[in-house]
Amino acid sequence: MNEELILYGKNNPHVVPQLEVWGFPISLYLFLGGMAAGILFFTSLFYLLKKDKTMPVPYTRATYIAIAALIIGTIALLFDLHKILNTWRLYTHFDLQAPMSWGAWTLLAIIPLAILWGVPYKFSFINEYKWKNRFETNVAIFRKPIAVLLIITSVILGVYTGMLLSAFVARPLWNSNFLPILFLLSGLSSGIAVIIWLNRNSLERNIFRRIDIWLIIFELSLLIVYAIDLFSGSEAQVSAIRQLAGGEFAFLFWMMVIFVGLVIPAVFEWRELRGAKIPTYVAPVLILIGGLAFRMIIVQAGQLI
Amino acid sequence: MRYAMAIDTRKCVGCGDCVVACQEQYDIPAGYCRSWIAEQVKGKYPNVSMEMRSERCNHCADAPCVVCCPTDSSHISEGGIVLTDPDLCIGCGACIESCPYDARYFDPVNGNATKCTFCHERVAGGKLPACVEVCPTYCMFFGDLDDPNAEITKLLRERDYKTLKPEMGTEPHIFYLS
Amino acid sequence: MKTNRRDFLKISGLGLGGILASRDIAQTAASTVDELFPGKKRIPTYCEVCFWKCAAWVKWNKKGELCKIVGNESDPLCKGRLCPRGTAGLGMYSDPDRLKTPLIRSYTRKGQYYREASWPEAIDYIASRTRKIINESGAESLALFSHGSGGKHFTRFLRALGSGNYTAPSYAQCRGPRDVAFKATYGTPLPSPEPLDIKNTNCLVLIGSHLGENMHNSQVQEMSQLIDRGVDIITVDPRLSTAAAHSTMWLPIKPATDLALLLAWMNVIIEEGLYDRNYIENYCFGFEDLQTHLEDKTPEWAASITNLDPEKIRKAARMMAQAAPSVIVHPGRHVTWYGDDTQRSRAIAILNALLGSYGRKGGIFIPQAAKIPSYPHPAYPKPKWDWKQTLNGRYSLAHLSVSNALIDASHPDNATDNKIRGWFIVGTNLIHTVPDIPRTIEALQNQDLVVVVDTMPAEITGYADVVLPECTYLERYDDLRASPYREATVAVRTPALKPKWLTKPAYWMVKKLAYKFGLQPYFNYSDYDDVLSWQANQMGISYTELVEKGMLKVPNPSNLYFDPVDQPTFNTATGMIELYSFAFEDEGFDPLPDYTEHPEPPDGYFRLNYGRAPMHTFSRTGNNHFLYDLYPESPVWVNPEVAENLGLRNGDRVILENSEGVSSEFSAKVRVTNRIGPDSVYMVHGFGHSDPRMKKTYAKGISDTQLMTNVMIDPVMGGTGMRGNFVKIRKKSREGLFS
Repeated sequence: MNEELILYGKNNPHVVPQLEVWGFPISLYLFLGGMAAGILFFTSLFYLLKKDKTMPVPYTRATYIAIAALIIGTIALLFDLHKILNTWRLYTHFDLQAPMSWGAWTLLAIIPLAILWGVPYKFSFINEYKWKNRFETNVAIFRKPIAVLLIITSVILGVYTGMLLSAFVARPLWNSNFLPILFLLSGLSSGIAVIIWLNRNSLERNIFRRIDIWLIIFELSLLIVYAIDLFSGSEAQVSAIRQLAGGEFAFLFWMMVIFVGLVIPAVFEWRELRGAKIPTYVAPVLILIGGLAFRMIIVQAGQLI
Repeated sequence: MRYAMAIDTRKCVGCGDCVVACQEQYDIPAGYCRSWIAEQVKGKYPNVSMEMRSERCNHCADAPCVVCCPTDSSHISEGGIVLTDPDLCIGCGACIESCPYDARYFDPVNGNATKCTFCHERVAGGKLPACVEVCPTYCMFFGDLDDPNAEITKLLRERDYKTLKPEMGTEPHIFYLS
Repeated sequence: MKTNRRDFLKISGLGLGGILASRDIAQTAASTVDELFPGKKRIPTYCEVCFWKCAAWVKWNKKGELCKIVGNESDPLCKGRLCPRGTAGLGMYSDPDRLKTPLIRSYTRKGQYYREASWPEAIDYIASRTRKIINESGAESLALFSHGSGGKHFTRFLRALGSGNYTAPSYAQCRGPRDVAFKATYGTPLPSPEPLDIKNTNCLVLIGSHLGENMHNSQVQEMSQLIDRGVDIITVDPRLSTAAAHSTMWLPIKPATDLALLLAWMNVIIEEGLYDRNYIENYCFGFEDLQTHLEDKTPEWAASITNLDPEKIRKAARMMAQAAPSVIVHPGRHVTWYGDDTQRSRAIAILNALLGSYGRKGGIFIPQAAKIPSYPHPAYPKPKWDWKQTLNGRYSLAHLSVSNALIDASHPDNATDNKIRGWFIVGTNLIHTVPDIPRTIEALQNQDLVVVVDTMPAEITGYADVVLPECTYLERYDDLRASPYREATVAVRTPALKPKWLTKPAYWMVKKLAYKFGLQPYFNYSDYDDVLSWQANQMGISYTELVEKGMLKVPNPSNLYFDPVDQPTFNTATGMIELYSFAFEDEGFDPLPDYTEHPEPPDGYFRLNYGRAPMHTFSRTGNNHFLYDLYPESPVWVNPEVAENLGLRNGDRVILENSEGVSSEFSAKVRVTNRIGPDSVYMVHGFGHSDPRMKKTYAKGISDTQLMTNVMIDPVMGGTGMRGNFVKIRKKSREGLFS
C-alpha cells in the first residue's frame, strides 16, 4: 500500500484539500460561450448558403439570444476574476500560447461582430431616424464578410471553451485533445437547440433536428474515444476518468449528460422526425440542461485529480 | 544563473520550520502557506519505508503557469526564479489551475495569484531563502546550478536525486536527494 | 473551612473590558524597536516554547517593525537555528486569546463567574487567603506546581514562606525514572539537556525516543550529522517513527516489551564478550551478578516476547559493540510508561556502562554547566514537613518532589496530618499533564486557595480562585540560563516587547506578594536586571557584553570525557558505576532490572501510544496561530487491517473509549497508515482542549491524558505510568470529501 499525503502546511483555501478555483461562473461561461458560438455558426453558415429568406429564425431571435449569452457569459467570467479592475491588462498583451489570452481577444472580436450581425433585425422597431437607416445600409453591404468572420470566430470560440481546459497538463481529465472538439460539438448542439426551440416552422425545425441527431451521435462516439484514451493512460488519467465512469460523479454524468443531455433528446428528435407529437421545447431544454451539466461536471471533476 | 534548491530526504524530519519561517518572513495571512511538508509511505507494516519532503513552487524551467498566464504576470525572472507581477495579475486563476504541484493560491488580501518566490530579494542581497536559513536538520541547500563550485552543484553531481512529477515535463528546479 | 465547590469556569465572565478599556491599555500594537530600544536591531532572549531553552534573537526589520525570532549562532543548543516552535514564538505573544487581566472567582446566587480585577486587588486577595492558611496550618500546607522559567520565581516565594512543597510534573510525569536510574547507576542523574555526544558517536540507539518528532533541537541537529556521516542509527519503536524511517535498522517491537530487548542485548554483549573489559574492571561494580542474572535472557527468549527476529537482536547488539565506546543508547526523556520505568531506565544505564560509553567521546559526556551564584537573600526557613513525609516510605528513591504525591496530600482521602490546603500553579496545565484527571480535580476542589499563573486560558485556569496573567517570555526578564552541555554557557533573556494588556512577569508578581508577608529581603531588586547584572559581575563576566551577545561561554568546570589518568569518582555507595544497585537493594527493589509482563489489550481494544509532533510542545502551543495552522489537531493512526475490520476510512471522525469506560470528550480524524501495527493506535499528545477561551484549539482532537485513568505508578520513585489504558475505536461520522 502506498500512502502519500500533505502532512502539514499548504492549507490554502480553494487549493487544498481540493482545488476549487474555478466554479459555476466558469462553467456557465463555457456553456453560454459554446451555445452562442453554435447559434452564430449556423446563422452565418445558412446565410452564406442563402437560406436566410426561407429560414428566418436563426437570424432574428436566435441571434439576440447569442448576443445575450455572450454578454452574460463575459460578465460571469469577469466576476470570477479576483482582480476585476485589472481586466484591461488582458488587452495590453497577446499570448498565443495562453488560451485565456486568445479567448479574451476572440470575445472582443465576436461580441461586436454579433451585434453588427444582429443590427438589421434588432433595431427594426425603430426606423424613423435617418442615421439608423444609413448605418443599416452600410452594415448590410458588409454582411457577407461579417458572416465569414463570424464562422471563423465562432469556431474559435467553440474550440476555445474546451481548449481553455485541455491546455492544462496538470489536470488529467482536461488534458485531452478530444475535449475541445467535444465542447465544440456540444456548443453547436446547444445552438441548434435554441434555434429549434424558437422555431415555429416545422420544416425548418426538422432540418435542424437531422443535423442535431448527427451531432449527438458524433458527440457520443467522441465521448467514448475520450474515455478510452484516458483509461489507457497514466494512473492519474485513469482515476480522473473513473470519477465520471463509476466514481463520485458517475450518477450525475450518466444521468444528466449522457441520458438527459444526449440520448433522450436524440431519441425525441428522431421520433419527432417520424411525426410523433412531443412539445417542441422538450428536446432543446434537455440538450441545454445536458450541455450545462457537462461543463459543470468537467470543470468540477477536473480540479479534483 | 540558475537558482535551485536541493533537499535531502534522508535528513528531513518534516518539522515544518521552513513553513513557519516563510509565513513569518512574508507575513502570510493566517491559514495560508507557500511551503508544506509531504509524506510518502510505502509498504506494509512492518516492512514500511517513509520519505518526508519539504515542498514549494518548483520554479520550473518550463513552467506551465508562465505559459498559461494571459497577461505575462507570471514570468521567469533573473536566475530562473518564477515570479508573478502583481501589477499585471488579473486574478483569473489559470496559473493556479495549471500548476501540477498546487503551489499557487489567491492572496486573500489583494487577490493576486501568489506563491514561493525563492526569497528573490533576500537572495539578491546575498542571503539564503528564509526556509533554508532556519532548517534545523540542514537538509536544504540553495545555490546556482551554473556555479560548478556551489555545494548544490556538487551534491547533484555526487548524489542520486529526483524531481517531483517529472512526467509533467516542467523541469523543476527543486531536487530531492535520496 | 472549605470554600464552595469550584465550577469549571469556561468564560472569562462579567465586567470584561472594563479594566482594560478604562486604562487604555488594550492597544496591541507592538512598538517599533526605535521607540523601545533606540539604536538596537535585536534583543537577546532564550526560547521558552519548550524546555530546551535555545538562545535566540528577537529581530526587527528595516522598517523597525517586529519581525522574527532567530537562533543565536553561538549557542551550542541551537547553533543559530530554532525549531518550528521557536521560530513561531511571536505567535505566543500575539495570541488574542491570552489572559489579559487578573481574574477573581466570584460567587452569586446565579452561579460563579470570573471578575476582572486590578493587580492590587488580586494580590490582596491571594495574600489574605494565603495568610489564613499559614495561620491555621503553617506555610507547609502550600504547594507549588510549576514548569518553566516563571516557576522558579514562585519557588523562591514558597521557600521564603517556609514551604518545601514545590514540584514540577517534568519529574514524576516525565524524566523522573530515568534520572533515578542514572543516579543509582552513575551517582548522578542526567541533566536537561541530556549530555549525549551524538555528533561524535558511531552508533545511536533510540529506544523510547523519537528524535525528529520531538524537536530537542541540538539532538535533532546532531542526528542529522550522523545521517550525513552514514553512522548506524538503530531505532526501537512499535511505530515507524520519523527517526525509524531515517534509521539504518528499525526494530518494530511489540509495545511494552522494551525491557526484554534490553536484557537480551546485554546478554549478547556479555555472552559474546563484546563488553568493554577495562571499563568494567576499572569503573563498574556487580558485573558477575549481572552476568548470572542475564544468563537465560537470550535473544531467542526476548524474541518470543518482543516479536523481533533473534538474529536482528544479535545484529543490533554487535553493531553497538563495534562502535563502542562511541555509542549512545539514548536514555529517552518522557519515560513514565508502564510503572517499571526506573528498571527499564536502569537497563539502559547498565547497557551504556557495558559498552563503556558513559564519559567517553561519542557516548555520554560529562555535562559542563556554568555556576550561577544565587542573589543574596536571608536563609530560607526550614519547613517542618514536606512531600517526603506524606509518603510513608513509598517512592523512597525519588530525589525530587513527586507531583502526584502532592496531589495525594491535597486529596480529601489524605488521612495524615500533613495536608495541603492551597495550590499555586505556574505555567503548567495540570489537566493535560497529570493522568487520572478526576483525582486532580478532587484535590483541587479540596483546596482553600487555588492560584493559577499562566499566559493562556488553559483548562487549569478554569479551576482557579485567582488567575494571574503572566506576560510571555518575549516581554520579560528571567533567570540566567546555565544549561549544561559540552561547553558551559550563560544566556540572558531580556524583554523585547512591552507586556501586553495587564500582563506581568512572575518576578514582579512574587515581589508584590512577598511585600504582603514582609519578605522583601528575599526579593531585594527593583527590576530583575539588578539580579542578572549582579550575578554576571560575580561570575566575572560583563553584563553589557552578555546582553550584547546574548550568550557567553565560561570556562568548563571539568573535562568533557573521563580523563585516562585521573580515576573518575561516582557518587554511589560503592563509589563505582553500580551495575548491581545497592540503593535499590536497600529499598527493597530489584538490584538488577528484570522483565515484567504487562497486560495485553483485550479483544477489540488497542494500546494507546502517544507521542509528539515537532511543532507542538505538550498542550501549550495548540493556540499559537502559526503552529495551529501547521498542525491543528492530531489524527489517530490506525493500521489498514484494523481499519478494514472496523470499517474506517481516512478522515472518519472517531471517539476513543478506554477500558474503564471513559470516552474522549471530542473526536479525532482517522489516519489509516502502515506506519503502525495492528495492536495499537497512535496520536500526538496535547489536543482535545475543553476550554473555549482558546478559540483556535478548542475541541480539536482527542486528549490522551483524559483517557489515562489506569495509572501505573512506579514504586521506586512514584512516576505515573501513562500507558496502562487500552482503547476501542467508535466511529462518529464520516467526513465529506470537501471538508
